Amino acid sequence: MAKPDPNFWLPSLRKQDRKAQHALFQYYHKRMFSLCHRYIPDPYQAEDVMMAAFLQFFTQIDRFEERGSLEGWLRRIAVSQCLQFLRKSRSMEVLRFDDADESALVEQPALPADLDYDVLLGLVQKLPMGYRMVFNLFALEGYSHAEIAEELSITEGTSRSQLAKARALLQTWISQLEQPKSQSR
Amino acid sequence: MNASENPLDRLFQQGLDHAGTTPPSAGWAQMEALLDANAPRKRRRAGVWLWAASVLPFLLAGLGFWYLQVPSSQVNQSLVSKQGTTPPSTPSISKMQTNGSKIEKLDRDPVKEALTDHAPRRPLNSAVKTQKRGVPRVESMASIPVSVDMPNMINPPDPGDRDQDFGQNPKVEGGQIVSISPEIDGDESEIAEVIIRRGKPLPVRGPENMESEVAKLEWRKAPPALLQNPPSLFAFLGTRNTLSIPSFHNARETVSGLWTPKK
Repeated sequence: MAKPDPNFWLPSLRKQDRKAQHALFQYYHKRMFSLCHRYIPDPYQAEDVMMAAFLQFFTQIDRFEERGSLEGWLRRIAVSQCLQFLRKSRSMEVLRFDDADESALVEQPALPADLDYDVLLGLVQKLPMGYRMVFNLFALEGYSHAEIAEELSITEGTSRSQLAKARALLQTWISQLEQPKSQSR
Repeated sequence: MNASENPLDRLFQQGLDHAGTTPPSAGWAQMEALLDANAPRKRRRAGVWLWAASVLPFLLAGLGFWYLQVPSSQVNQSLVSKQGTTPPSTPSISKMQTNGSKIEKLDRDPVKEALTDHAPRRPLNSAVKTQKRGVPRVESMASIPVSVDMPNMINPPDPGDRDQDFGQNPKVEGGQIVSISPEIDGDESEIAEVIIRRGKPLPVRGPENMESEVAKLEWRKAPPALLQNPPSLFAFLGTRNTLSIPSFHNARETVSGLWTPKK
C-alpha cells in the first residue's frame, strides 16, 4: 500500500473537517504515542500528552506555514508537549546537568541488530531523566545541541556531555543484554 | 531529522522511530471529545457576533426613528421663552404630561428665533470666567440657544425626596436646578446628571456640600456638532459627558448637562 501524503489532508484540516482529523489521527497516533512514551514512561500520562499534542495540532493548524512537513510539525508539537509536561510535573528537577567533560565517550563495540522495539524502549526509559531527554532530542528527534540547550535551558556543553553519558550507559546495558546470549551459545 | 553517524543512535532510530505502539485507551473517541469540548466556544462566540450583527441594524433604525420623532417636540415644548422674560413659568414636559394636554407646537421656530432675536451677548469666555470654582468650565461654546430637556426631565425627581441628599432643595443663584440624577452621596465614582434651568449666569450655589462636590467634578464640552443635536439621544447612547446647552450668558436658556467625576 502506498504511503499517503499527509499534506493531502491539509486543506480539510484547515477547515476543521472531522473526517480529515480522524484520518490523520489514525495515521499518526501510534507513532506519536511511541514518541511521547519515550519521554514519559507512564503510558497513560504519555497518552494524555499525545492527546494534548494532537489537540494543539488540530486547533492551531492555521499556524502551519508549510515550510516543513506536516509530520515534522506534529512531532515538534508533541516533543514540546512532553517537555512541558515534564516541567509541570517537576520531573525536570531531578535533572543533574553538570558540565562534565566528554571523557564518558567510550569506544563503541559492535552492536546487535536484533534488539526489538520493547527492549529498546525499555532501555531509553531506563535512562535518567536528563540523559533520556537529551538522547531522545538528539538521537531520535534530530535536534542540534544548540536547540536542545535552548529547549532545556542548559548549555550546549552540558547537552553534549549528557548525550555522551547516555550513550555510554546504553552501550553498557546492551552489552549486558548480549552476555547471556553469547554464554548460552 | 539529522542522520546521526553514531551506530548506537542509528540502532535506536531504526528500532524506535518508525515503530508505533497502540495507546492504552480508545484514542479517537477521546480525541473527538476533546475537540468537541474545544469547538463550541468558538461557535458560541460566533453566534453572539452573528446575533449582535443582526440586531444592530434594527437598533440603529429604532434609534434613528426615535431621534427624529422625540427631539422636535421636546425642543418646542421646553424651549425657553422670549427675550427679557425669566424662565420659571416655562412649562416642563412632565407638567404638560400630567395636565394631560397634548404637546403643543410653537408656531415660531424657537431655535431660529433665539438665534436671531437675542440681546447683545457677552462673550462666552467672559461669562465662564465669572464662574466660581467647581462650576462647569466651558472653554468655548457655540452660541446656539438650544433648549432641550434631558430624558429625566420628563419625570423630574421629587424635590422633597430626602434620598437625593445632593438634590434636595437645590438652588442656583438666579436660576433653578430642575433635576439631579442619580443622587450624589459623595461617592466620586458616581455620575450625576444635573439639569439646571437658570435665569442668570452661573455661579451655582446649592446645598452645603454642593460646591465641594462640584469642585471634584469635571465638565466637558460636547463637540459643536453635538450641541446642535438633541442631547437626549446622546444621553440615551450613554454619552455622559456632553454639554447640551451651549450658552451661559442668556438668562432664558436652559442649561443641561452631565457631571462626570474627575478620576
